[in-house]
Amino acid sequence: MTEQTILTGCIQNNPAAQRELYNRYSPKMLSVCYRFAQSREDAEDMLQEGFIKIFTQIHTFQNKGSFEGWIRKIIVHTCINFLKKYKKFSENVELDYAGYIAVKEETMPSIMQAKQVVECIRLLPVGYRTVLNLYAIEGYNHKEISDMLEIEESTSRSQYTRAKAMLESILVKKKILEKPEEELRLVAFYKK
Amino acid sequence: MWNRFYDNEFEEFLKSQANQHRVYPADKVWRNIQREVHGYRKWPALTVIAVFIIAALVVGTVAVRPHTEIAAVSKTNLPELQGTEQTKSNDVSTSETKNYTEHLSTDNFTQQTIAKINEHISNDESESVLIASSYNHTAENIIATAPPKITDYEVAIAQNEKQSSIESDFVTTNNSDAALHSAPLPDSRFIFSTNFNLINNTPDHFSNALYKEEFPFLRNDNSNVPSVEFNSPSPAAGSPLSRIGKGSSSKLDFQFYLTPSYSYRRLVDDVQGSLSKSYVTAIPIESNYVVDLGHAIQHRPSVGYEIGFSLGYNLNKKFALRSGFQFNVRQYNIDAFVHSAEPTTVSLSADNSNLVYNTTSGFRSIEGSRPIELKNRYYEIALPIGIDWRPINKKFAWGIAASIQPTYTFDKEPFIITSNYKNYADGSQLMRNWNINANFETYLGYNTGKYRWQIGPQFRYQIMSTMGNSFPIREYPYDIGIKLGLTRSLK
Repeated sequence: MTEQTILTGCIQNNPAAQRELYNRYSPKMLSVCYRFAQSREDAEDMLQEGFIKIFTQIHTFQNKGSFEGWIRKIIVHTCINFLKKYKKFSENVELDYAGYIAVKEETMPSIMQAKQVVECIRLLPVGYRTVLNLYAIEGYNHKEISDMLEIEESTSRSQYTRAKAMLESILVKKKILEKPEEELRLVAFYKK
Repeated sequence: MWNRFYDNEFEEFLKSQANQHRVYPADKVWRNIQREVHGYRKWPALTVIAVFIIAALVVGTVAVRPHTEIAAVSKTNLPELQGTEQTKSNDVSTSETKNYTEHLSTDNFTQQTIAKINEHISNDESESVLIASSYNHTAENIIATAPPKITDYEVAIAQNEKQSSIESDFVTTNNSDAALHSAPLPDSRFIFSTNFNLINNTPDHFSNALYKEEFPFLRNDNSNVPSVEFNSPSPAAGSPLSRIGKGSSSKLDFQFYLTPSYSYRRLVDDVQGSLSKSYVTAIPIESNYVVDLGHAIQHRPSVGYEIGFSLGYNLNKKFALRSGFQFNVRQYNIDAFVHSAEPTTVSLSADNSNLVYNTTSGFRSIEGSRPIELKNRYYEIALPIGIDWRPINKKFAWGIAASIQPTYTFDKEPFIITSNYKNYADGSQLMRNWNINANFETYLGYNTGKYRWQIGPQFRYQIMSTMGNSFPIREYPYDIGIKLGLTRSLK
């Protein structure tokens, strides 16, 4: 099925087209949800709500931009609404706390690096994690993030700075990143 | 500068790693999505029961074939016989050539034959003896008709051997009998038992083999010519004809029943068709906790009963339609704790409304001062409408029955869980008065004359939720019991 066929079928509420759409995008979208969620169950709930919105609002897609981008935007907004409904973003975690995050080897199965990086992101507190996901991975700017999370723009910036530092520390601990030499202020070398 | 460069590279790294990552969802996620988008499929209990009732009626009507009246023998299949005597009847032809068909006509009953048959009917209350004949002709006409000669019959039977044996007229060799009954005895085609089955289903004639079996006292064993012996003993007990006059097919019956039962309930929330976890915000607002509703509500079955009567209309020996009136008590117990009265809230959010039901409660679901057992009890009256199928209905019977019961709950004491899952409040304001129950039972019965005693398990399930649609938790009570019944045939 081509994307246009899927889109047309979903507009007509065709179950086969909906299933095809779900099969194509659910793994990637669940990965998006997984980075925002506290647990896999939460991630699946976010995915479920997101796809329900996609199927019920698919007639509003105006063929401006990619279809995947439109789906991803709905999923991200669904994740944010889910977190806003049950979680707060007012954690005020100090940078030094990053040193006390216990990254146990046994909690990180030996899998591909992508999953390791995602698992490291999930170790962050929910507020830091959300801002980091939105800014670094989803590409929203701090103004948009502040509107979505109903926080100040400065809060978004500071949270992102702290989140990035914390994540770097975790990635270094997990030896996914090599800590740069501070006196030389070199760019960190990281495995690709 | 380098920080920004580094930041960009770091972000690119994160983005590339994240975009490579895949997580595959569980199957239930898709099922839940389909259910939300295309509607929640409930088990069509009403549809299934209605289809069962209709199918049973159709099968019962089609499977039990009505008795087929045997039409007069076709003129084309039978030869004409030569009459030997002129008749003096005003209505009967005096022609010497008498049509065999007319000779076999049921108009030729004798008065004695009519008296005999009437005696059968009055003594044995038989509904299965049917003389499909005409009584229009006078006795003189009947008596005046001369019986055909034996030889004529033999010729007729022999000539029609190939087509099929025809029940032919009876023959007597007794001259004195002939004098008394100058006309032939009634056409035996018109006397049949309830269990008579035609091998040859044409309306014109019987098969010879069947004739021998079904009418032993009408046949002459030594020939193919059916004959009647006036003084012959009554048919063998095993013959289907022996059942003539012994029918017990009363159309109506009255049943009284009592069903002690255990009552329980099934709780369903809005999402998955079962009781799932719920996330709530407790007071104070800052603290959140997750409550598993399946553990928050501690309920146990309790004893109830059903008592009622019904009238049955028997379509045949195996199928009956039933309707009646019954009274039900169903209840279950909830483990709670006594607490001082406090205001509580019941959120009526099932239909996306913002309505809230404010009340007070003196009972908690979590530990309080002392434990207490709350009884959710419902008093109901119902009008069951259903069908009763008895595949086996002899001395011992086995039956299956089902019914739909419009129900009215006139006294209720329901306790419902509040929105914070902490308290039990009186939910009678939210409860439906009218509901529908479905009933399914099977039983073993023992027939003693006009009475049938029966015992068997019964399952009764409420189809619509106890509370209105606005209450998010749906409750479906059900009863499992042993039904004791006594049925009496009505004349």
